Amino acid sequence: MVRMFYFLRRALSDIGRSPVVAGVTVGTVAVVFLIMGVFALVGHNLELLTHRVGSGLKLSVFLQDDCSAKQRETVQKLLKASAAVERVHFVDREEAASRFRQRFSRQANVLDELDENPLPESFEVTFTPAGQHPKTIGALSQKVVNSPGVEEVLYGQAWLDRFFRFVQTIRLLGLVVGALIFLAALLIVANTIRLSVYARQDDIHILKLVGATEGFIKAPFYIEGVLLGLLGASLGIALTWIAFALLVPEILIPGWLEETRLTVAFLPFEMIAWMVGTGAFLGVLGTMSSLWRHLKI
Amino acid sequence: MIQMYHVHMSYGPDNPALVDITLRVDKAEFVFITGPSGAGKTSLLRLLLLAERCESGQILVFGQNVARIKESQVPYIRRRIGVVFQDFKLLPTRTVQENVGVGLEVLGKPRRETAKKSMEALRLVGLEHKANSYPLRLSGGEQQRVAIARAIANDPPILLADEPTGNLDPVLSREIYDLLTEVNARGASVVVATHDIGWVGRTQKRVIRVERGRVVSGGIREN
Repeated sequence: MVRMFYFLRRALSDIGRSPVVAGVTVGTVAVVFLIMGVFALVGHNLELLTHRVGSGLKLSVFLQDDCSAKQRETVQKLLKASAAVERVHFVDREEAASRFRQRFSRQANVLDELDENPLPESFEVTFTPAGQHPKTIGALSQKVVNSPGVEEVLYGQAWLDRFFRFVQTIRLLGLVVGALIFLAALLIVANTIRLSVYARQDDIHILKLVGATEGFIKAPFYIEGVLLGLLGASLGIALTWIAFALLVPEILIPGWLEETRLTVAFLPFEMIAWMVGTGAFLGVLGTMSSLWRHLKI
Repeated sequence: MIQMYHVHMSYGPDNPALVDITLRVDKAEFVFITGPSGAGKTSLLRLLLLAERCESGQILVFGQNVARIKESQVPYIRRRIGVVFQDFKLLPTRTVQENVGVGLEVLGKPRRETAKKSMEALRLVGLEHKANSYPLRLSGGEQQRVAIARAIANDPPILLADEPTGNLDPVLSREIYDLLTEVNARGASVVVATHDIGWVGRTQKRVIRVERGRVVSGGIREN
């Protein structure tokens, strides 16, 4: 514990000795985390949107007019057997007609003018939260569409596929950009530590002569790196929050989002903690690479 | 306390620094190592401090063969050896007291104990009133006294001094030798490398003479 305070004191004194370099490093790391934060924010909200879209996903399995009771039962069993399925509801012709009348009240008389109810029987399938994915739904749809007695299966394939592809692209872009700017931040932290190592050459030399171990010499640099990473990450997240608070209500909410009753959420606590942890990790990694190249003990 | 047997060391294939060195320094003994510049005095001290490694031979310090010691063990040997250099090697950004306490910090001593022991060492060298000054505000003699205080702050059994008076005038040199003698009187083995033969001749201490990397006289004490 005594040592920890000693190392912390040394690290703070190093930071204090070159405040401009430390400030620029924290600022740069903050910008990196601001960019990461924006991507995380977009990613997180797309995730929420995906869940919202997903929870409304339904698969409609329309049956042929001549579908036998046995075939219907087989289809129902097949649907129920899937772990992704939450509920399977059978819609008979009467229910289909009443739904039609409800939804298209102006055209309701179209049905009355016909001799026979043309609407097919169908199954309406809703999914568990884990099962609400186009791939899962697509696979089930493929399985069912070829079953005897099934006329058609619908779940808005094209639209869903496009949406999920968009989400995936954004995620991938976030990952690539995140990795690149993480590397840039890493270089900046490593460079700051390198400057610290150079500034402390004499200290290091004396410490070695009086019997300091490698760990004793290196520890303050690691603490310095972690502090810079933590400060930068925290500042970056704070900037993301400020940007979120200032921009989101004005630009996004009065527009199309409100009409579709979607709200934009800030990053959840776990994600913030994860980002702050990444800041500390960045500090450790930056210090490690710098000491490895510039500090020979 | 220190024993060297047939030690060879070189800086590259055609540049031998020490050749077949055999010597012995007993507990609480004061020994001078003399010789012209480039004779190998500093290399010898660097070997004892484990700043260099020998190619062959044995070096026993505290009864341990440090010639073959693992790199990770080096700091623990150094903690028991005080060292003083010609150019003082003080940290200009730390106060005199902080400079003296640096070796105690390495040992993980609490701040209070570090402060107490460094003040004691400063008292011994007569500089307790300069505890809060910065090294560059002191004279050369005072800086060397601070360096000695740093070297003895944790009571090491061995004190090595490499040309400790090289940058000082005769009066200040005398002060430093008196101080080293006092450290020796307190029980430490003191090894001083110097080419200040005039002063060495006036003392009654053993002199190990080194020339062209070889011990030419005084390697082993004659009883």
